[in-house]
Order: sequence, then C-alpha cells, then structure tokens
Amino acid sequence: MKLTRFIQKLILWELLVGMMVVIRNQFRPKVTVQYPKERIPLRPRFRGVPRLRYDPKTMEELCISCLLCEQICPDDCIAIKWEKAPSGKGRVLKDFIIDYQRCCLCGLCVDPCPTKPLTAIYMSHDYELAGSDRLDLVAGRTDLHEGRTVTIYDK
Amino acid sequence: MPTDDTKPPAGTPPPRETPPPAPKPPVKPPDPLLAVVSCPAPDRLREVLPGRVSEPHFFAGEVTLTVAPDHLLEVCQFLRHDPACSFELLADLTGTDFPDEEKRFRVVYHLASLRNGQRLRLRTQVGQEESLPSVTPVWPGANWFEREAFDLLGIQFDGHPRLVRILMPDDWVGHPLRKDYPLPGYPEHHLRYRTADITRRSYVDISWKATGERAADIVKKYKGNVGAPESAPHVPMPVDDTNGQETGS
Amino acid sequence: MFRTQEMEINMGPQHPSTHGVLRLKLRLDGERVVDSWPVIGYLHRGIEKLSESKEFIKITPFTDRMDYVCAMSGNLAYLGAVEKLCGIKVPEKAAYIRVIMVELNRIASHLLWLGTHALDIGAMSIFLYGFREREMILDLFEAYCGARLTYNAFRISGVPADLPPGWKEECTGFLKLFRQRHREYEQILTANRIWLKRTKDVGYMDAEHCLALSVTGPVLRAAGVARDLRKDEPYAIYDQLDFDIPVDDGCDTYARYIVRMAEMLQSVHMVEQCLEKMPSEGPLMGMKGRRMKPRKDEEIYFAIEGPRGEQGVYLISDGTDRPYRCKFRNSSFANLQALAPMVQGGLVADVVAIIGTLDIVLGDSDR
Ligand code: SF4
Ligand code: SF4
Repeated sequence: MKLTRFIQKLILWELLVGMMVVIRNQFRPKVTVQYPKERIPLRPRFRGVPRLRYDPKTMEELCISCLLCEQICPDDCIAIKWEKAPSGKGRVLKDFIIDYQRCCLCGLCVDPCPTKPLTAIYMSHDYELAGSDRLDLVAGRTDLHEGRTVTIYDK
Repeated sequence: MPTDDTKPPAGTPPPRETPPPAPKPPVKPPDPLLAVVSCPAPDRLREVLPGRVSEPHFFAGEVTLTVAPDHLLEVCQFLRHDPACSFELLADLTGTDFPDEEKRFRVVYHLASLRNGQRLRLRTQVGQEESLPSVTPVWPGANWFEREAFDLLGIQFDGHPRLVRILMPDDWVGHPLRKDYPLPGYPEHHLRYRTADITRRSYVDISWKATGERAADIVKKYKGNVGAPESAPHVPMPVDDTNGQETGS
Repeated sequence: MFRTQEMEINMGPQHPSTHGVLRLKLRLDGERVVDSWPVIGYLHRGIEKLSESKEFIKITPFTDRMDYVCAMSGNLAYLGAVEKLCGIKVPEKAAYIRVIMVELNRIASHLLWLGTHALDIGAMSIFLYGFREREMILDLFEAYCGARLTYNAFRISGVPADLPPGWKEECTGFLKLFRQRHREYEQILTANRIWLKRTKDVGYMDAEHCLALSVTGPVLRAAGVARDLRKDEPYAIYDQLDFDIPVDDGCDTYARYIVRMAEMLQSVHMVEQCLEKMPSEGPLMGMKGRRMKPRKDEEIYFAIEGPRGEQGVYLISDGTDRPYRCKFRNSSFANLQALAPMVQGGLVADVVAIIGTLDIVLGDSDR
C-alpha cells in the first residue's frame, strides 16, 4: 500500500489525472454558442412575439377582424381598426397594431382566433426585442407581416 | 358556459324517443358546491362558547364562521388550543374592502389543523375607524399578514408588535387595495415613483380603449407603414403547425 | 479592555446572496447577529389590485410572474382556485399533463435552490451542475408550451395542447439521466466536510415554531412534520400516485437539504408514473367557451403544495367574470417571517446560508 502511494507520488499521479481531465475536455465539442453569428435552434412551439400571417395559398389577409384577440389580451396591447367590407358582408382589416413593449408573450391571443386551422395571429420565433425608442416597439401591420427589421451593428 | 352545477360531459343526451310522462317540475339536483361537510369546530364552539359565532356556511367543501370582532381573540384562542379543533397553522389572513357596506372591511382567517386535517375560515367585519384585536398572541405568524392587511387596506390591529407598511414604500399615501383607490394610483401623490418622469419619455397608450385615430396616427407619423403592404410578399410559414391549435376534442 | 459596539448594517437589496431584492437590516455585535429586520416590497407590482380589474382568464399570465422559479405551480394554484369556485371538472388527461409539468418544475426549482444555496456557501461546481440539468427541464418546457420561464401553460378547465410528439421519450431519457446526476450531487455534498460544517445546526427551527410562524413546505418537513398537501388534501390526480413524503427531524439547514434532495427523487418517481398511467386519448379542455359565471358572493381558498410550501389562492366572486378580490398566499412571504428568529444569535456568515435554506423568491413574496 505504502509502496503504491510512494510510486504514485513519484510519478505525480494526481497531476496526471488532472491533466487527463483537461486533455479530454480539449477534444469535446464546444457548447458555447457565438450568439449573434449562431443561434440555438428553437422548438417548433417556441413563443416569440405575436405576428400576423397571410393565407399561404391565396396570399390574402387571414384576419377577419373579429377582435377576439384584442379582447383576450391581458395587457391590452393589441389595437385593431376595421371597416365594413364593400360587399356589405364581413369586415376588412384596416390597421393592426401590437405594442411589443407591453406584450408578455403569453400566447393567449392565439387561442380564440377563429381562422382555424391556421390562425391569423401566431406566436412567431422572433425574440430580439430591442429598440432605441419606445415607438420602435410598436409594430404596425407591415412589421407584423414581415417581421421587425433588426438593425445589426457591425462594430 | 360553466354553470354552478357540474354538467356531465356531452355525449350522454337523454333519450329523446320516450316523451316525459308528465310535465314534472324540474327537480334541480342539489348543488355539489353547497354540500355540507363535517367539521367538528362549529359544534365545539356551540358547546363551549355559545353565541360567539354564526351558523356555519358551507361552500365548495369549505366551512366559514362569522365572528364579531369583540369575540375574535377568545374564539381564536379556543380554536388553537382545543384538542378537537387544534388549528395550529394560520394559513392566511387577509382583508377585502366592501365600500358599500356599513362595516367596510371583511377580514378572513384561514386556519388549518394538521392533526385533524381540517380547514376553517373565520370571518369578521370591521369598520374603517375601528380596529381589530391582533391575533399575534395566538399565532405569531400573523405578524406579517396583519402588516400586509394594514398596508394594503388600512385595517388597524390592536396589540400588534409593530404595525408598519410592508409591501409599499414607507412614505406611500393611501391604501391601494381599497376599492376607491384608482388602479393607476393618485398621480399627484406619487410623482416620485412615476417612471415617465424619471426617464423623461412619455408613454404611448395604444390600448383598445384609446384606439382609433390616435394609435394609428402615432404609428403612421413615426413609421409611415400603417396599412396593408403594397404587394403581399412571400412570407415563409413557420414550421409548426400545432402551436396550441388542436385543443381538446 | 476592549469594548464592543453594536453596529447596524444593511445587507441588500442588491446583494448577490439575497436571491432577489431582499434588504436585511442587521444589528451586529462583532460577528454575532443581535437583531434583524427584513425589508421586502421592492418587487411589489400590485398583482392583486391588477387582478381585480381583469377577467379570470387574463390573470394566469400574472401568476407566472409571482413565483418565477416555479411558474407552473403558480398557474396550477390559481386555475385550481377558479375551477373550484366555478365547479369545473378537469379532464383526466389534462390533469396528468398538469401534474407532470408541476413536478418537473419542482425539480427545476429545487435545482436552482441547490445551485444558488451551495454557491452562496462556497461550492461552485454544484451550481454549474444544477443549472446544466435545469436547462434540460427548461428545454422540455419549451417543447411543450413554448416558453422557458413564464409558461402560462394551462388554461381554465384544462391544458391548451397535447404533449408534442417525441416529448415522452425525451422526458423519460431526462429522468433516467437525472437519477444518475442526482447521485453525483449527493457525492459532492452529502458527506462533504465543509458542507456539513456550514449547514449542520445552522438556522435551527423546530416544528412548534415553524407552525407558529406559518412556515410550510420543506422547512416544516425538515422539522419532522409530514405535512404535504399532495397527500393531505389531494388535488389533481395526486391520490392516484404512489409517493412518499420525505421527512427529517434535524430542524437545521442540513436537514432541509436532505429533504429537498429526497423530494427531487420523489418527483422523478411521480413523473415516471404519470407518463405511464396517462391516458393517450381524451379531451384536454373541460369546457367550451370562455365565459365564466361563478356563484355570487362566495369565497374560496385553494392551496397546493408548491416547492416552497403552501401556495394558496383566495378568491371572492361577485357573480361577474372578474374576481372581486384575488389574494395570493405565497409561501415565500410566510416563510420569510422565520428569517429573523433563525439568524438571531448566529454568525453573519450564516445569514447567507439561512437565506438560501429558506428558498425564497422575492417576486413570490412581494407580488
Ligand atoms: S401574447 Fe399575450 S400579451 Fe402578447 S399580444 Fe398576445 S395576448 Fe397580448
Ligand atoms: S382573433 Fe384572429 S381573426 Fe380575430 S381579429 Fe384577432 S387575428 Fe384577426
């Protein structure tokens, strides 16, 4: 027993064990994600900011201005303006504004949207919410359809 | 849609073929929420301290007793130490404001007994100018709960070790949970705490109550992108699909 | 002769070991704490006042923001209260999904407690290990409901969505891995001499005092009282599960560590049972539509066993679809009362250990 201890001490066994750990970790794949360049893949149900979408087939507005999402939003951050359709039946969407400052990303607005199976409003995968002004974060209809333009700083 | 009586799930409709024999008056089944539950505390109180508490009220399997503030401490002492009741734990203490009633605040004590597995709610009414005896001699844990009720509702507790504000700042004016306290607060009282003044940026309210011209105008002025885009662009659809849509059956 | 002078110092509100914004006024005599006065309220957001102006369905996102470490429990407590008030039945499958989520979140919450508590005392590596596993649980939540911290994963009368495909397998894999990792944590800490010295007989509080101060949860169970609402007043489907209540009678910080570690394993066991027993088919929502109509002028109190203790919700209805009063009885608030008696007479360095062992979340206590 003593001899083994002695030999271990002689060849600096503990140091070797420690170095082995270091060396092993040198060859492990890196787990750090270089954020602005790389991103972590999101799960399909990820809830980013809510956005609007068109009907994928006809490329028409899906939203029928039923105002259900406006009513259920706990933070009152959706504002919708609509007009009577010229044909006299139904409504035409004029404005759709979501205030991302107040949105708590709860996803409640998607629940009651009646345009099933594809809801007009959906929780997108956008999560970069920053702006230099409060109004930067008030998304109008273009923003809601095409996504907010994120300024990328090179330097 | 949800009514008080728990309806059986759809799918078991009554058979339509056999017409009802006689137009019987519909006998409503007793509401399961109002069922009487067994609890020894009301009986024990009736025996030992008659006339101190009201008849028990049952709702959703909970027992509520109403007690006058004068008898509160006595009843609490009894409920805490009587072996048949033995409510060791004061789970919660809180108040509610009913501005229309004569005695404005309703204070409830949620008691729990670990030995008997019972729960009991004691309820008392107290006016704005009056005060309640503190139950800290019985349950020292009532200390912070009473401070909270004092802070948010302005209920006075006699005999409390140190009744000072707990959640709101020490120099706050008013008691926020009172029903006549406005939701955004009194602006003239709380200038120090308004972030808009600190950050020198005004707040844009687009809430639906203020919607219409104003919200649209603000955004248009700033961004000029209100309204439908010129041509509907090809927006890639998100991958998922489910996003919580196939709910239920 | 030296004379000591009492000194009053502030610990917090921006102190890394106060787990939020807790300010502690300490009166010290040398290294000994003579007296203390916790100051809370820095995170008060008026959630109860706000709730009075919202419909029942809109309050769920606020409950996420109270106990943000275990938001699923907050959701479940609130929704359970609404369902009790309106007499709504939850379908069995939804109840199973809820229990799976709540128990996974309890593991995540205890992992966060373990990591930060050990980090405060000086064990750095367990912090990184704990967060590594917590991240996996958050991934599971992201796959289920799309959020990683403020889930809003349940709705009144059920859950909005079924488990996504492949989730069960991922979860089973995680649970298997977690049992191994749990052994690793125990190897690091349970018999660690420094850990024992820092936790044994620190923050002593016996059952009688715990009960008098309304302290519940693991702190009470570590004082030898087998109080667990999952067993005592079973809600959801806990009466169909087989589990034990870990109890220890050490009454000190080390006993609380033992209890919480054992609770994590019990939660793993429960989730495994749920995954096995869960019906594969069935409705997810117990009611259609969103209109609530509770009985007028009634009040209810509903409590669940959160990771920190009894998490109760008290609702008064006035017959409309908004609560007349909505009070959240949060366990951190009640448990914080035990802080002053626990630190009294102890050393300053132990204050940090005691704040850790109470496992407080300031968002929970301040509402
Ligand atoms: S996610 Fe929630 S807060 Fe945001 S717009 Fe939808 S309902 Fe409102
Ligand atoms: S619920 Fe859907 S269809 Fe109705 S207004 Fe909102 S986005 Fe449009």
